[in-house]
Amino acid sequence: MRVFISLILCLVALQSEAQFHDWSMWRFDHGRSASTPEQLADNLHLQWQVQYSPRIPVWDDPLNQNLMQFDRLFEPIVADNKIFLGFNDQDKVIALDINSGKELWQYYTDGPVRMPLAANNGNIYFTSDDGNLYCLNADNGSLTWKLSLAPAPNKLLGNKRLISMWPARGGIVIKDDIIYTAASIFPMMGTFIYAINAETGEIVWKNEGTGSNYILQPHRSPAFADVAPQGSFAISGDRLLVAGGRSVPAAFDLKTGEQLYYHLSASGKTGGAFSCGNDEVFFNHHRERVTYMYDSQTGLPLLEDAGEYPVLDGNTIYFSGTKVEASELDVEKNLNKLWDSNVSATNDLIKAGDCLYAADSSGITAIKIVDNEPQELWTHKTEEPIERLVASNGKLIAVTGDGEILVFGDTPVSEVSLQKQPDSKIACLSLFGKRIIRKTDITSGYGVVLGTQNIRLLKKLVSKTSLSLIAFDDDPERISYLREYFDDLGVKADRLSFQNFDETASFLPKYFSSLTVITDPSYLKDNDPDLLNAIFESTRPYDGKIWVKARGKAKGSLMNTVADLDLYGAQLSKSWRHVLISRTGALEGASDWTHNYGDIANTVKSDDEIVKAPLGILWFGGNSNMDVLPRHGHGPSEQVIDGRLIIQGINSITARDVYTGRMIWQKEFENLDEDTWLVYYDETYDEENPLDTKYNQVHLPGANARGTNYIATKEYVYVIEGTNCHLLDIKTGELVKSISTGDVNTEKLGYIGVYDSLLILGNNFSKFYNPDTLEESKKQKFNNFDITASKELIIMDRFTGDELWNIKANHGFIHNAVIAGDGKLFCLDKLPQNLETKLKRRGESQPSGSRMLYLNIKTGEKLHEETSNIFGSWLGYSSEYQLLIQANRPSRDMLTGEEGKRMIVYNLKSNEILWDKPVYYSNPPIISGDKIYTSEEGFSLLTGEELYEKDLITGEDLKWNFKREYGCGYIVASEHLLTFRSASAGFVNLNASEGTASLGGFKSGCTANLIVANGVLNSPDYTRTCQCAYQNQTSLALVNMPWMTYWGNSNYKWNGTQIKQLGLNLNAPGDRTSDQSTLWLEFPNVAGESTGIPVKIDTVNYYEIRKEPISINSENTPWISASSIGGIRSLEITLSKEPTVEDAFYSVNLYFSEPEKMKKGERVFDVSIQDMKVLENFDIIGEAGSEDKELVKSFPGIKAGRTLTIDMIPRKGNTMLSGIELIRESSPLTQNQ
Amino acid sequence: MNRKYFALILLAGLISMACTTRVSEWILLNGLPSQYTLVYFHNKPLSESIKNQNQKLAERISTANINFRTVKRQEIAKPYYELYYKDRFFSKYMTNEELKGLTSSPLRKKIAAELMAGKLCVMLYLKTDNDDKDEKGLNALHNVIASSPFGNIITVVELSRNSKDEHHFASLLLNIEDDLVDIQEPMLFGVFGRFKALEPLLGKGISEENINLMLDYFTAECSCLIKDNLPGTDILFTDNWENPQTALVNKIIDDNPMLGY
Repeated sequence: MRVFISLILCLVALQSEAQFHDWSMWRFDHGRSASTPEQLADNLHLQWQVQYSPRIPVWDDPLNQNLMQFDRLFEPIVADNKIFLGFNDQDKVIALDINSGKELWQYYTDGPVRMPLAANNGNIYFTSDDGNLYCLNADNGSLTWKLSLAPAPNKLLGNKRLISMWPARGGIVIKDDIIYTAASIFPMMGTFIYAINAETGEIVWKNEGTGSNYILQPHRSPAFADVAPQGSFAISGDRLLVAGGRSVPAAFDLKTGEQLYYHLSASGKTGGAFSCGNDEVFFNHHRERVTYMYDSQTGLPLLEDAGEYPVLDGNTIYFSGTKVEASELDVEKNLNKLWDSNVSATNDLIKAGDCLYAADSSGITAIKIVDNEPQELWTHKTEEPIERLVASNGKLIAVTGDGEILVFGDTPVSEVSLQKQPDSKIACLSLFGKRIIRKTDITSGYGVVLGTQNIRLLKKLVSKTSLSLIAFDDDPERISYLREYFDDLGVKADRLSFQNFDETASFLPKYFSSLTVITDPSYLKDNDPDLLNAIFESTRPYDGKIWVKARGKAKGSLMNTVADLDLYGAQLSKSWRHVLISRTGALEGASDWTHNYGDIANTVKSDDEIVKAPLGILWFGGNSNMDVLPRHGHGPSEQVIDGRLIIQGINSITARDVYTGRMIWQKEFENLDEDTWLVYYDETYDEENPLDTKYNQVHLPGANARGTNYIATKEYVYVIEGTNCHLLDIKTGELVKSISTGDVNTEKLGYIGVYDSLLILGNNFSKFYNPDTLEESKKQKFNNFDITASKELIIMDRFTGDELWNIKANHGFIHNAVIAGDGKLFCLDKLPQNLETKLKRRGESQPSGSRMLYLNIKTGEKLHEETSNIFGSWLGYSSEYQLLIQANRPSRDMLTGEEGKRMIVYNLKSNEILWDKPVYYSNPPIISGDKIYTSEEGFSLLTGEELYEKDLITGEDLKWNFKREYGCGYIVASEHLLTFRSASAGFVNLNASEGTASLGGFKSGCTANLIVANGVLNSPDYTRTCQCAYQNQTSLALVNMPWMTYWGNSNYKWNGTQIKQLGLNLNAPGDRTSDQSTLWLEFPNVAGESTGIPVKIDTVNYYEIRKEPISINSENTPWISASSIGGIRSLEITLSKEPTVEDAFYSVNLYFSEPEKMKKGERVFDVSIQDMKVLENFDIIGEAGSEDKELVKSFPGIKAGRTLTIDMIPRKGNTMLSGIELIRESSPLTQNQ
Repeated sequence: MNRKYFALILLAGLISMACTTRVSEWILLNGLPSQYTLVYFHNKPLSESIKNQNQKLAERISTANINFRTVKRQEIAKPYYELYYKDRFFSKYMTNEELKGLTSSPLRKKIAAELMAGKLCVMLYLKTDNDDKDEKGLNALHNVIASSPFGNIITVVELSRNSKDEHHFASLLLNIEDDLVDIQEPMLFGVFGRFKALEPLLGKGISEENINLMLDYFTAECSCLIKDNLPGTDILFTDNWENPQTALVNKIIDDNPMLGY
C-alpha cells in the first residue's frame, strides 16, 4: 500500500511537473510576451526569500534610467527548478534552488552582467560588459563555451567600470536554438550583431556593417550612426528587433541578419529599450511604462499611447497600469477593448495559465480570467513594492526594487526562510598598504594592482581609500578564489575587481590609473619596455603614481630601464623596498582650455597637439547631466585645466576628472542661480518633469551674449556670484576667498577674465535700455543686450584681490570683446551691434565715445585708441602674428544683430588696419595659425582671402569648405580638428580633405562642448533637457586611436576636368582620405550628394558585404577592404568631361579581401583593365591565405583617356572587389574627342 | 501628398543644398512663416452663438499663418481678442467685427503675387501722409531702383499708415518694432520670402546707402547664419506659397559677372 501511495504521489508530481514551463528568458519567450501557459495553484504561499542589495542602474540620469531599465532590478529566469540571476555589481551569475533558495553555484565574469539571462536545453546564456557571450551548464555552472562578441580585447572605463570597448548589451533572445545578441553601444566604435548556434557557439550570421550607415538622426539631419544595440532583443515574426537603447528598435532579418528598417529620425522623441511583440505588431517604450504600438513589417507606428507594458497572449493584449485592461488585436491591427479591471498593475503584470498576476507598490494581486471576465483571486501585501514577477516551475517569483527575491509556492511552510548578504566589513592591518597610502597620498580615483598575493594590501586599500581598484593576476584559479573571497566579504566589484593579467597590457586604457601598485616585480616581465610603457601610459597624468615593490638589484635595474625609456613627465624615486614612478605634469603636447573660447585671447582654439583622428572612446558614463545647465540656455563651455574639467550647473560648479569622468568635487552656491536665471536658463525650464517629452528650455543666447561667469586656473576657479568673485580651490572646490570691487555701487559683476596674475572683472552690467522698457526687452530673449557688456573694468591682483587700476566705459565694454595678449588688454567700448544698426536704419547719428582700446594690462596705460571703424562685438588676438581681429559674434542663438558681415584685422606692430573686408561668416572667428576658420569655410588671417586647397582628384585649386549638418553650438578648433555638432557629434580632420566626419552614437551639446584639451576630446553631457532618441546621452572622452575608423562626407563635387587621383571605396559608408592623399569616395553613393563622377557598373548576382574595418587584417587601409561588392562584370569610370581629353598613364591599385567563408578555389576570377588582362584565375583566399585579409594588386602603366574600364570574369563563384585606386603617373598625351 | 507640393519640397531641397542660393530665393522656398496666435479671452462659459462665431472665425483664418484659441479669465470684464506673434503682444480687438480683413487684404495679395513671380523683394513705403516727410525717402528709393542692376526685379508699393482698407496690414508693420507706432516718420520695409519684412529704414535712415545695404542682403548668398536665424518678421497672410516662379535674381547675377557675386 505504501509503495502504491508513493507511486501515486510520484505520478502526481511528475504530472504536475510535466505541466511546468521554464521561464527561460526575460518575459518568458522570444516575443517577450510575459505570458506562460503554466497554471499556478489558486492559492500561493510565501515560501522563502533572499535579500541582496539594491541594483544600481547603469545610467546616471532620470531619462536614461527610464528609457533603459534593463539592469535596475534582478531579472530572474527559471529552468529545471532553478532560478538564475545576473549581478551588475558583483560580475556574476548565480543559480538558486527554486524550492529552498539555496545557492547552487556561482560563476564570475570579467565585467558586470547587466542584461537578462536566457536558458536553453540545459544551458544558461548571458552577456557581460566584458564583451563576451557565456554558455554555462545550468546544473553546475561550469563553462560550456564562451565567445567574444567584441572584435578585440581592448578595454575602457564604461559606466565607472573597466569593461570591453564593445560591451555586450544585446539582451539575449533565443528562438529555434539560435541566440541573437550584440556587442558595442557606440556606432562609431562599430556594432556587432550576431546569430549564434546555441549548442556549439558557432556564428550563424554576423552583421557588422550597419553601425556606420549614414542615416537621418533626430532633427532629420544625417550622420554616420545607425542602431546602437542596448536592451533585450525580441522577435516578431521573421524580424529580429534589435533594442536601440533610447530609440525604437531596428529590425533585422532573422535568417540573414540583413537590416530591414531603423526609423531613428521618424520616431522623434519616443523609444526605449523595452520591446515586446507578437508576429504582427510590437510595443516599444515611450515614457514611464507607456508604450507605442508598431507594425512589425514596416516598423511604423500604429498607435501612440497604446497602454502600459503589456502581456501578450496571441492577439489578446493585457495592459498594465493603474488598472488592467484587456484588448483584442484584430486583423486590421486595431486594438478592441475587451474588459478592464480595477486591479492595480503599476509595476508589473504577467499571465500564467488563466491567471494574471499584477504587482504594484502594495503587493501582488491574482486575477483569474473566467469566461473572458476578470475575477480577483487574492492579494498578497508586501512591505516593499514588487517590481517584477515571474511564474515558472510551480512558483511565483517576485522581485522588489531593493534587491529582494520572494518565492511563492502552492504549499505553506512553517517558517519562511530569509537569507541576507553580509555587510561589507574589512578592516585590516597592512603596513605595506599604509605606507603606500601615506607616501603617495592618493586615496581616490581608479587604481591598479598587479599581483594579488597580498590580500591584506587589497583589504587596506579598499578600507582606507575610496579607490576603485582593478587587481590583475596571471593565475586564473587565484582570480576565481579572490572574486569569491571578496564577494563573501561584501566588497562590490566597483571597489575591487579581479582580472586576468595579459602581457600585452591591452586591458589598460590610457591615463586612467591614479595609483598602480605592482606587488610582484615579475609582472614586469624582466622590465619589458613595452609593458612598462603601457603601464606608464595607463597612469593618470598630473601625478598619477606607480609603486613597484622592488629590492636590491631589481630596483636598480628597473630604475635604469625606466630612465632609458625617457618617459615624458616621469619622475623616479626609491626607498629600500620600492621604486616610485610619478607621471608629473601634462601630457606631451597637451594644452588647456580656459575662458569661454579657449583662452583670454578668444582664439576659439586649443593648442593641444595630441588629439587627432581617428578617435576612439577613452571612457563614457559615470556622471550626470543634472549637474549641467539646460542645453538650450547656451551656458558657458566647460573649461579644462590640469586634468580637471570644470563645468557649471544651475547653482553649482563641478570638477570632473578629464581621464575617467569621475566627479572630483561639486560646489553648491547660495545664490548663483540668481545670476544664471534669465541668462543661462529661464521659466521655460521645467525642472520637475525630466521624463516629459515637453521637458525643455527654450533657446537663449546665454553665454553667446553674456560670456562666461567663471574662469578655471591652475590654482583656483574664479566664479562670479552677485557682487563677489569667489576663489575655489581647484583641487578641492573649497571656498578660499571672495573678492569684491569695494565699490558700494556694485550691483552685479559682469565680465570675468584672467591673464597671468591678473583678474579682470566687469563692475556692473551696462544698461542700454530705458528701465521702463526693460521688462519688455528681457522677454525678447535675443534682444537682452544689458547682459552683454560691463560699465567698468577693474583689474586686480588675482591672488590678493588688490585693485591695480580700472577704466570706465563710455557705453559698455562688450564682454566678447574684452581680451588680452602680449601684455595688452584689448576692449571694445560701444553700443551693442543691433542698437547701432537700429540708429543707422533710423538715420540717427551714432553716439560719440565708441572706441577700441589697447591698454597696458598691468598699469592701464592707454597704448592706442581707435575711434573709427568701430563695429561688431568680438575681438580675437593672434599672439603669433600680433594681429587683432575685430568682428561680430555670429552663431546659432546669437543676439539679434550679430550677423557676421565684416571683419577687420589690425596689425599691432603698426597699429594699422591690415585688411578690412565684407565677409559673411556664421561662427565666432577661430584663429588657427595664419588661418581664420568660421562655419564651413575659412580665410587667411594675413590677407582675408578665402582659403583654398588642392582638389585631390583633379589637382586644381578648390575653395576650402565643409558641410555641417544640424547643430546649434558653434565650431571650435584644435591643432588637428574642428569639432562641432553635425547631427551627432562631428569633426573635420584638418590634416586631410575628407569633409565632415561623425562621432556616431551620441549627441554633443548646444553649447560647444567638444573641447580638445589635456590630450583628450572632452565631451561632457551638455544635453540636459534633450528628449531626442540619440543612441546615447552621456558624457565621454575620446582619444586618438590609430586603428579606429571614421567616415566623412567630403561633399565633393567633380568639375569634370581630368582625374589625377581617385579612390572608389566599394560599398563603404562614406569618404576617407588615405595617407597617400587619395580621396576615397564611397560607391555607390550613400552619404551625401553624388560627386558627379559617372561610374557605370554591370553586374550579375550583385551583392554587397560590409564589415567593420577592425575585423580586417590590413596594415593601413582596413577601411577600404572592409567592404566589397560581389558580382561585378564591368566597371567604367569617367575620367574627364572636357571636350578634349588627353590620354594619360595611371597606376591602378585594386583592393581585395575575402569577406565570406570561402576555401581556396571556390572564388576564382579574371580581371582586365582597359581590355588588358591583369589577373588570371585570381583567387583571393588562395593568395591572402585567410579570410578578411587585405590584398592589394597594383598595375602601373595603364593608359586611359575619357574612361577607364575594369572587367571581371568569374571562373568559379562570383567576383568580389573592395576598392579601386587610380593615380596618374605621367603628363597627359593629347587625344581628341 | 500633393504632387505639386512634393515637387516644391524637392525643388526647395535641391536649391537649399546649392551653394549659391540667394537669400531672397532661399527664404521664399524654405522659410516657413512663423505663426501668429489669436486668443479669445472670455470670462463665462461660451454660448452656442459665440462658439459658432469663433468657429467661423477659425475657419476663415485657417489658411493663414495663425492659430486660434480661447482662454477663460475670470478677472476680465468683457470678452475680447488679442493677437500675438512669437509671444509678443501685437493688437487687441474688442469685437469679432474688428477682425475682418486681419489675414488678407488687396495690397498683401499684390505683394505676395510679386514675390511669387520671382521678384527679388517688394519695397513697401509706409507713408505718413505728410508729403514733405514722405518725399525725400521716396526719392532716395527711386534713385536706388533706377541705378541698381536689380531695379527691374524690385517692386515698390506705397501704403498710407492711415489707410482704412489696409489698417490691419499697417498695424502689423508698425508692430515689427516696439516703438514704431509712436514714430511719425515714413518707413521703408523690405518684404521678401514668404512675406517676411525686415525692420524698417525710418525717416532720415531711408538713405540710398541703407537701401543698398538692404538689397545687398537680399542678393547675398544664403549663408548658414541666415538659414538658421531667418531675419525678419512674418506678416500675417493667407498662405499660398506653392510653385513660385524661378527667382529672377539668378539670371541677372549670371549675366553680369562684373557684379562680383
